[in-house]
Parts: sequence; structure tokens; C-alpha cells
Amino acid sequence: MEKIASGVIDALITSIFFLIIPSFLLLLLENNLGVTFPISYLPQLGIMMVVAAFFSGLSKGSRFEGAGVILWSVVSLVYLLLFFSGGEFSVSFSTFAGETVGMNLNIDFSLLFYIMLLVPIIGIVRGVVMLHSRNTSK
Amino acid sequence: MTVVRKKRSRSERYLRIVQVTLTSLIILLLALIVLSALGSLYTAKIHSAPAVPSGSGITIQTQYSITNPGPVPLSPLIITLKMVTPDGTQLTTNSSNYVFIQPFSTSNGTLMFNMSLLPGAAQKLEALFKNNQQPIIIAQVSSSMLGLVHFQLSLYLPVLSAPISAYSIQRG
Repeated sequence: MEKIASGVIDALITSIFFLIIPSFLLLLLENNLGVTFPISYLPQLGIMMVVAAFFSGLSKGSRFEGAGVILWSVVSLVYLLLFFSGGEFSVSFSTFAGETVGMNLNIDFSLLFYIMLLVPIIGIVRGVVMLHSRNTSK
Repeated sequence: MTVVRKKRSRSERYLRIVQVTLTSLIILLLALIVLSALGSLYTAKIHSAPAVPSGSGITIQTQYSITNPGPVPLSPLIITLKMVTPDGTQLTTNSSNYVFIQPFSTSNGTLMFNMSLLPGAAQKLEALFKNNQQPIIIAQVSSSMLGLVHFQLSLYLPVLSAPISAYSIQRG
């Protein structure tokens, strides 16, 4: 019961940051500023993160905690790769404050993107170390 | 699922510390960059005088005041203007100005954008005005923040028709 509660809490926290806030903000921008942004895959990515967080929370304190960390890290890696698509972000506006204007914002953060990828990669290594140490030690 | 609470291994602890430190640094860096970028855009005050035909080109005078409320320098902030037709054909050369905005400081002054008309542009402008259309000014603002983040904001602005229309009578 304690494990399930831990999983549910982790999933709820994750859903706020990866599902509710991004969807709400991007929809708000799309409706008010005419942003053309590929948000179609955002709910699927968010749900994937929530499911991974649930299993990660469920495995806490067990011998499978490493597997939970690996799952969470792999899903985070996929999220970062798809969401930031190589460290380039582009937003186009067609209207602003009711006026018809064109606006295009390109942000290139390739170097920062690769540094960001290090976090889930270290997570995968940590998960493997955890799995190894908790399943081989007596 | 059996609950096995064991002491964490040394490598596991180190990896955890590295991961948390890296995440914290990235979040801090992103927050500082966003503060500088959005703060500068929010505090930017730019007043442009109407475009004035000058010789074989067009001059736009702009007064600006930009405050960088964050610790990340915007050096340089490159502002480029060019004039195009509604279908995207370039009418003038690019004109760029550089603005250096240090952390926690304000930069203000006057920028002059002198754009020369490209060959054939005068005829295209005349044809546009005959069809009750206007050329478009593309303003591009680009900068690099610590070499980590490069951004470029392009604005497509309709030109005030009156002063530019006057150009149709003096070909470059």
C-alpha cells in the first residue's frame, strides 16, 4: 500500500510538470498569440512520463529500484530528444495583441541540449549500478 | 515485490550527487538566461521615426532603451532591418546595428538604419503602390548568451505607407 501511494504521489507531481503545465501554457499561447507549435505529441509524452514516474515510485526501496531509475531515465531521454529536437526551438506568431504581424523566434541551444542529455544518461548508469549492487550483494 | 533496504554503494552515491548537481546547474543557468532575455524584451522601448527616402536608399532612425535585469550579458545584440515585398522579394540591402548590453545595466541611444535599394527595387515599389500594397520591413534581433544559447527574433512589420509612397517619384 505504501509503495502504491509512493507511485501515485510521484505520478501526480510528474503530471503537474510534464503534462498539465506544458499543455496549458502551450494551448494558451496557441489560442492567444497564434503560435504554430507542434504540440500534437505533447500529451503522449506527458502520459509516458507519468507512467514511468508511477513505476519508479512503486519500485522505491525494493531490489528493483534500479529498474525504476532506468525506466524513468530512458523516458526522460526520449522526452528531451523529441521535445527539444536537437536543441532548436522555433515559434511563429501570426497575430500579436490583435494586430496582424509576423513574428518568428528561433532559439538554438545545441550545447546546452547535449549537457541536458547527460542527466538521464547518468541516471541510466546509476540505475544499472543500483540493480547490480542490490542483486549481487548478500 | 520484496522490500530490501540496503546501504547505497559509493558509486551509486557519487552518481546521484553528480546528477543532482548537474540538474541544479542547468536549471540555474536556464533561469538566469530566461531572466536576462525576457527581462530585456520586457523593458525594451523602441521608437522608430517613419522611413525617409534618402538618395538611392531609405533611412530609418530608431531611439531605443533596453535594460538587462539579469546577470547574462547580451553582447552584442544585433538588430538588422531589410525591406521586402509581400511575396518575400528583397528590395533593400540589410542594415545592421550592434548594441552592447552588460549585466544589470541599461543601454540607450539612437540607431540609424541606412538601406540601399537593390536594382529594380524602385519599379517593384511603384508596382506595389499601384496595387494598393505595401512593402514589409523585416526586423531581426539576434544575440548569443555565453555562447550557450543563440536566439533570433524576426518581426515582419508593415511599413507606414505615406513616407515610403513618396519614394515612388524618386528612383534610385
